[in-house]
Amino acid sequence: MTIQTDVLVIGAGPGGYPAAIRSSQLGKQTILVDRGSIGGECLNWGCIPSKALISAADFYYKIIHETSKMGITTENTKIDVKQLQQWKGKIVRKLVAGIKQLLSGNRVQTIIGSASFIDPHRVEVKLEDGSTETIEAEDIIIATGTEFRSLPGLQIDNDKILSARGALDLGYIPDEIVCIGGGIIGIELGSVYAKLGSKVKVVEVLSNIIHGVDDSMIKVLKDKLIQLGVEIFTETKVTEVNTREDGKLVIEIDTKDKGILHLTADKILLGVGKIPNTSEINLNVTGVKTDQKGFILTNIKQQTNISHIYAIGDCTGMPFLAHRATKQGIIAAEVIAGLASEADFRAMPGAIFTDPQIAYAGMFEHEAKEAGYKVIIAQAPFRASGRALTELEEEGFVNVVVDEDSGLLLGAQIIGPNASDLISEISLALEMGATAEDISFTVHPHPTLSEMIMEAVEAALGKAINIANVRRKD
Amino acid sequence: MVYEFKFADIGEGVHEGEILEWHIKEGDIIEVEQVLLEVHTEKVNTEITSPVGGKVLSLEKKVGDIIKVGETLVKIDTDQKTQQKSKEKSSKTELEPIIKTKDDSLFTPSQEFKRVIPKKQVQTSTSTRVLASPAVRQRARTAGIDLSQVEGTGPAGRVTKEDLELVMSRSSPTKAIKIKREESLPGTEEIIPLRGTRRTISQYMRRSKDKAAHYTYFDEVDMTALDELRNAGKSLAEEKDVKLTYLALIIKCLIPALKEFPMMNSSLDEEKEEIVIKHYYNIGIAVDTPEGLVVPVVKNADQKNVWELAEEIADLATRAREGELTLDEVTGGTFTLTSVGNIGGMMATPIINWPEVAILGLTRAKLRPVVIEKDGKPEVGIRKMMFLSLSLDHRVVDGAIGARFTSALIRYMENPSLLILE
Repeated sequence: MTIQTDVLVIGAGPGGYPAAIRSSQLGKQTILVDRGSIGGECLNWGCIPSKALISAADFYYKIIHETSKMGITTENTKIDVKQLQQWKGKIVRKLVAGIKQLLSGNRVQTIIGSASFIDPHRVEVKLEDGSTETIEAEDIIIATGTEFRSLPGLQIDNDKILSARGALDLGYIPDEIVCIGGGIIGIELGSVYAKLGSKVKVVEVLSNIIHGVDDSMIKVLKDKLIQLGVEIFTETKVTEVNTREDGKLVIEIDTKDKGILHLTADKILLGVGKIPNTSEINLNVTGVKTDQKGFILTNIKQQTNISHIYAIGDCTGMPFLAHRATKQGIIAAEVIAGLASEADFRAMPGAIFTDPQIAYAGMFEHEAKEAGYKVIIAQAPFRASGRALTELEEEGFVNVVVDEDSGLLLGAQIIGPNASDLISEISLALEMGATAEDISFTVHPHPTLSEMIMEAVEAALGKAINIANVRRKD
Repeated sequence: MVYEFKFADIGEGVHEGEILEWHIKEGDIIEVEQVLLEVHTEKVNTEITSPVGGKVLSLEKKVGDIIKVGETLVKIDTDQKTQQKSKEKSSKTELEPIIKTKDDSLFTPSQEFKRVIPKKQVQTSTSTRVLASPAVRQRARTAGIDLSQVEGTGPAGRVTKEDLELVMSRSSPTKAIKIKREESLPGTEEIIPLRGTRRTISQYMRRSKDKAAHYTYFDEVDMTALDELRNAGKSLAEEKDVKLTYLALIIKCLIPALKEFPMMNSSLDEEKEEIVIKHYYNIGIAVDTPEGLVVPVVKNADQKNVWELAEEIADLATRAREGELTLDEVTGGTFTLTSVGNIGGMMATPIINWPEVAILGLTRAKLRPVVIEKDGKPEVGIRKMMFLSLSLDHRVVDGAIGARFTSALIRYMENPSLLILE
């Protein structure tokens, strides 16, 4: 039997489910197909569960190592990993249930099964009971996301070799973890287990961890990682992995200055990138173009080269961000409904939940210079923030990039407490085309962390009160 | 002293230009009259020279930028006039009279505008950021308005909701070019920025259609007599080494017809609500060039003989194709001729070269069977016929006048001997 519909969305992650809801809101009959994880990676094995563990690890670490300064000490502080996992699961289930309710409330028909293209307009869905259903849609939105990448000889099995997904579901705290790949996943989850008591080592092939972020920020982050006892090997390759008789993994690495070393571990956390989920849906019968790695090419209306097929989120390539997928999904649904929507974001903020947190929006200093701007750079350290001190979070800073000629804010980077929340002020400023003055004239409540954004732009303008100003040669 | 060199009103209704190339860079020491940059104005490409000498402090505009009269192009420190390395020279320059600066800053060219051969238009992507809030941007997309064309009145030139609404409510769309265009699928379309001659043509055509109340009048003319005249003049033409063209002969016939119907050689001053009748006859000739349509002008055509006209037309057309026309040669027309005769077609509805009020379209003269009168009896003959397509601005020229003018023109074209008799 063939089901006819206006719009078919494949994948119910943070891109797919908002796309389906928006599509239905705009009067299109909409079907959403997913393999079974409503909420996608974000909700089930990404953003949300990882934040649960990060939050728990922060509390645990602070209680043991930091709150004594405030006069709070506890004895026999313990962590019950089973309880932690249950709590995490409850949050996820609550959110997934909420999405299901939203979908049905918005009259989106949700089908659980694996989708595979028959031709550019028809998709076969293999249902859980083994039967199949054919869906014919006028427009199709692909939101199938990505898969964690394995390496030759290092196949993710979520037993010894963990992806982020496996690392989030561990029922105990391993003694030793080696994170292969010093990217966001490796550092975020590596920090979690370091705080919970594991001995963590990070092996990164590039010259620095969290590639793409300014070195000055990475320095702050590294200081904290060292404090947590994390060992970092950069410009280092993994050459061999063996299992010892006692079950321990032995990882042979080729370091830059110490030659060959051997690390032992109970678990390896593999965080070496992601590959698009575009092969399993039989995309090639549609003629949709992808890049060499299989990521789908789209225009700013999220259309692929086949005009009625749209693609959104991680399956369209970097940066892998849930909020990007969501916005793109809404745009695709609106374009299908005939609205004049476009992905014309001035800022696509990034948020990294390391300790301290890192967040950025707009241009980094080097990007602004490459684009030909004469820039003013100013920093406001959280050490100067009363609020940061009272939170036991004085590391980090706000860095602003301002166009000297026009005074426009070009971008900002924050490393420090609640950076992921603070960045939205920057995003709004960028979207609205705000100048440094606009931000400096905006009253920021005291005492808050957001004052440091105001201080940073004031420093750029040479009129900061509480921190050092940028000196200008006139 | 820092001299702010501004883009000047160079006359002839030139209000803006596009920067094609900078010939200097920041830090350069330049001399008076040194070429600073090349600009494409609405009419021609031109090199702009510096009225002062000194050190270039900053270029205020980039290649591809559209500059308006009065905007600063470059800042020059007039106190630093020499290269530091040659001290001899520096002592010399000190003796020179103080640079010919004009403090009103709106500079008048110290020399004739140079003829510039246009370079192949480079398709630079101008990534000037439009400042507008996301909601305003969405509104503009929905209305199909290109925000980069909307003047922003907000802080730092931000386009506010009010700015956009003003443009949306305005009847004249010259400020905001509608861009309602489907976003192309990856790899299926090529984007060419609207620049140079193409941009000028698009603005001119739009403006003409917005201003003039167009109507087009068709008629046909028997070209036999002009054809004979042209053949008769062939040997003389060879002697003079000039190609005797229809166009030159038609201009000869056009002048007395224009004199008979002066409204045809006029323009409308909307501001003053006056019709300006011109007693000079500058005939524009539409020329198809690789860059697009260009209209050089044969000045004072009434004072030139047919050989001078033929020679001038040939010269203007050649130089138009090579992009070597001066500003003076493409301005000041009073009536325009456009010809598609060598390509094909029967009739056309030409767009008036505003602020003129009339344009005459010529098509190919062809042998056709026509009913002619011979000895008082109708009979079918084979004659060389041509259709005329005359577009007029009805605000100034009524249908009856247009028709009478055409009849007069046809009378001269069919009986060129009248030109001697009148």
